[in-house]
Amino acid sequence: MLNDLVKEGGEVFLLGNEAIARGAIEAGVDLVSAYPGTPSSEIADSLAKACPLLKGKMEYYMEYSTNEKVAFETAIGASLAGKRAMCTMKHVGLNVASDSLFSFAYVGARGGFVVVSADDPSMHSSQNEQDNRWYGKSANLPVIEPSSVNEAKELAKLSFEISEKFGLPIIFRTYTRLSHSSGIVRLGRIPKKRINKIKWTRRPETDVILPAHARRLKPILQEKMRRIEDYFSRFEYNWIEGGECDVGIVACGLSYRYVKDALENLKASRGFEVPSILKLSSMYPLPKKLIEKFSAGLKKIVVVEEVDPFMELHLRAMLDTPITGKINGYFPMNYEYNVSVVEESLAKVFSIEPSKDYSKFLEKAKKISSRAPPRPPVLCPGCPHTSTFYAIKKAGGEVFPSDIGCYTLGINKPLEAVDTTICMGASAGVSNGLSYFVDGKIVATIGDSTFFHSGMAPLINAVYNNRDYTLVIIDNSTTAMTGHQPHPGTGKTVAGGGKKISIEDVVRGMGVEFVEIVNSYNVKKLIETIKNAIKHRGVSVVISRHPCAILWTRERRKRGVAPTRFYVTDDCNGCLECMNSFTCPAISLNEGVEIDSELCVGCAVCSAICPQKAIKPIRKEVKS
Amino acid sequence: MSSEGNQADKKGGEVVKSSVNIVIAGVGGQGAITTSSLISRAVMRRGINVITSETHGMAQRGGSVEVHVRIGDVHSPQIPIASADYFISMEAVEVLRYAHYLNDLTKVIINKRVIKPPSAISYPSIDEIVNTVKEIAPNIVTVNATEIARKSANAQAVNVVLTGMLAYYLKEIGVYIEDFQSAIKEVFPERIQEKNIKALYSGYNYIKEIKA
Repeated sequence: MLNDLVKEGGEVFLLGNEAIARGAIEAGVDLVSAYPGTPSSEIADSLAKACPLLKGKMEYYMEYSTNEKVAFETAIGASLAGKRAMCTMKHVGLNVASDSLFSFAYVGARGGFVVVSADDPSMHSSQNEQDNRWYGKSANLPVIEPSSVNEAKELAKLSFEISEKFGLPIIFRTYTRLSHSSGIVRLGRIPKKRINKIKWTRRPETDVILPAHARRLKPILQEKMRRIEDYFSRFEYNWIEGGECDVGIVACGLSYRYVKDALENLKASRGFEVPSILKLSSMYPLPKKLIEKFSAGLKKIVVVEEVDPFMELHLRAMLDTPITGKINGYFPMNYEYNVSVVEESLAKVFSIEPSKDYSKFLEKAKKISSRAPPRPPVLCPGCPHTSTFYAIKKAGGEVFPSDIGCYTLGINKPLEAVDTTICMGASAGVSNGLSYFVDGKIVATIGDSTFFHSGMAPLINAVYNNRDYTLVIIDNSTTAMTGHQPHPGTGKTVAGGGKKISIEDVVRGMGVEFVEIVNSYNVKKLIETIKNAIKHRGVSVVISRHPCAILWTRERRKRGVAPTRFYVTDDCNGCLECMNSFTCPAISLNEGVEIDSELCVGCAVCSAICPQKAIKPIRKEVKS
Repeated sequence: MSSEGNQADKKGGEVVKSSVNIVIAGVGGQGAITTSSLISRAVMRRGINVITSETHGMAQRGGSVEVHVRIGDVHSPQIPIASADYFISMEAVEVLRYAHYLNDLTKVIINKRVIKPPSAISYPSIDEIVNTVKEIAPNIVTVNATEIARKSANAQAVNVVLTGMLAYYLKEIGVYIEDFQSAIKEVFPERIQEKNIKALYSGYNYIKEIKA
């Protein structure tokens, strides 16, 4: 909770992401930049909320940047000015920022620099399961990974010191199960600090990576990494726990906690000789001296780590001791771990039975859970995206490249107006390629925040290369899916006083000749406009604009405006246009078509599309 | 510095020897995360270790929500398969979805509230749900928590009524209703504290009466 985040001392209960935010506060961070993305969002959101509360005490700048690359570069600027900077993003966000990451590794950090990468094993809300420890290896940068919520706070704080000590940017890796766990955190001191300006000193020999400079800087980076490798061998968050046999377990990050639980279960039920443990919270570079000390005398080493066999591959290359892990099939190659998975795998390694027959329980439970009707996420009642997708289909769109946001749910029946989703901004880019070959009306969709993030470059490309397709920018004036963060189109910033960027001005400035703006709830006009856009030869843009239904409802409630709810009259002939072409969680078929007045927010779109005009506002009907 | 940091993680080990695992399942917007927050704060007041973990879908509302609360001598945030000591199903059908956490000793609290997803064609009845769950976990309490909430406070306090029911059971590990009352004061704004404390006690007394 917010007041716990800015408290002085004591023990509090924090979300993993809040703990990381608190670590930055205790480190006296000077600037935080972020593009939201699950499971990272609460780090930036917490720091955005704490920022005004800490004014005059521990001051820092906090901005939501247009994308992760910009966030990363903003943080570089702060670091080069000698200030402490943190940028936060989800794992795929680091792909966007990776161009800057590889170069900045050569330049090196001046003020402490921490990039937080929130990975998503099991892909709870992501398009892939990439393991961002590889970025440490390929960019030659240290990777730190906490094993608990309290450690997340401590290590986030310490990362700034380490970064400054070695002049290296730090990749701080968290993941869903840590970011979205809560635990007891022991608070440290919040430093007192005002923001001050500095005088710029030119250092072109490091800060301008000309080829000649880069050739000189690469061995310097390698030397820094050698020094930090020694440091990690003495690192207080890497430790050895002695065992009773000649098998050792290397436990990485949160997997250490799974190992502890699993071994306790096995010990209690099977009474076997407990192996020694090397707990690691530094993932790269590997602490060679510590590993050599640990492995001395061991007959076998078991590696427990989530996602890729990163540590395992390194250990196989480094040691003669036989290694067991994912590669030889003892641990699963995909998806996140938990106690049951780790315990079953360890039981296999030690040729014993797990404390419970987990597989049997799972099998039995599967039969029971199959009786629960699925509860997939749906577009909310009154969601302006539903209206937009309905209009696109009615207007004659045939090919539907789309993008990342709540609107990806347009993939589902009955809308089925999402045909491709690749990554942020790819709707406009994929449309470029499709338009060369596909015989059919291409109507792509992209959200407002995604458009600013990375939709602009492919759209310019389309205009320049004379492509012919329609891009519908579905502008709900927020970054809805990740928790309603602001973006350039909202003009709102954490500090206040941001400038609002007009999407239509941007698009016209790019040379798009057909640009129309329609209220998403005005579904008839939206259909007409998209029809005209499709007819237009060349790139056409329709901006379908209405605030996110959640924000719209919240804002009206604040103003004391009650929503006009709707009901189905006797004129309904059961054609089911409102359910089979349109859709809304408030509309269901029981005796006849019904609208749940508790859920209805009064967008009136169903009323507009009903061929029988059988959906009426409740208030007006009472009057007549 | 690290040894200090790790004490908070390792704590609990000395205080409570056993552990308690609680699964809270529900639908987005029902307040499952608030419930876990109340339990955790109550437990913390007794100096006992607690870790929670939340899993929610991609969308803001309407999806299934699963929260784990692990109390005492535990290390990781996720409850192992078949290892729930308590299971609170805030919506009736959700207990079926997460049946893999149940075993024959799990105490199951099922709220009779039904929230039908728009895509559902058929929906099991409360009797069907109870009979199915019995195949694994026979120890079941059903409750109309919405009605209790409405009578004692307001319909929104369903999650607090269910928290009160659990509070009755947590006496066995030395966490008391007063601890939950304090947690309410930490979590809720002042103007709704009293109503929620009423809701808490009405849930607590519901189990007390069953037990009597």
